[in-house]
Amino acid sequence: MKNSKKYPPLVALFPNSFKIWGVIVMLLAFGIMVFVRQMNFFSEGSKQMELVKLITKQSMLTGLFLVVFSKAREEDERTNQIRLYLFAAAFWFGIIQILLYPIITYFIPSENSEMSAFQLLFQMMLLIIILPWILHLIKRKIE
Amino acid sequence: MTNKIKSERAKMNITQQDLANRIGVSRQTINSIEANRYIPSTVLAIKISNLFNTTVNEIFQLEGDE
Repeated sequence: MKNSKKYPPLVALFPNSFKIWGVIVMLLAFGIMVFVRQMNFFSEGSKQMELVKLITKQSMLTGLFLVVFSKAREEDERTNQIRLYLFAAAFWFGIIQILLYPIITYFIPSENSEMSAFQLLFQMMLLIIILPWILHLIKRKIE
Repeated sequence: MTNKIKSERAKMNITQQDLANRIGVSRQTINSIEANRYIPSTVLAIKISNLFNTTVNEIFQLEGDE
């Protein structure tokens, strides 16, 4: 059943099939990153290694983007509402992360005192994907 | 907010899936409404009451201080 015409999503979304493509892109990017590191093709810090890191990071973000911004199998007003809640939760999470990160790194020194855009977007989109599962598991445990 | 969807469904002898198909939503949405986990929009509430040949007030009632 496809209700996208009856219940238009609040934001522009890709078709449902893009979720699978997103997962494939993410897994491929992760696999390539691990493979290149394990095989020691390029030395750490070299220009080639930085290029591999850049491409795989961007590919992972693209994969997550495709998963998050594609329609559910059955779209209706409830899926719209759930999506709205998830986006709001991710936005809150992002703001709190940005506010707390410098304070945490002040006490626990880290390479970067500021959070990168990749880290932030990756965590926000990952939260949108895993939060429904976490809530579902909690609900099942309570019941 | 409470509702009588489950009992009305039982009277008409239709499943959650049948009801969902007739009003164009997913079965999970009907399940959530019946369990009072999701409050439907006005449009959906009217569609549901129309299907049961009754008024919205007959199907959906406010609780306590709501």
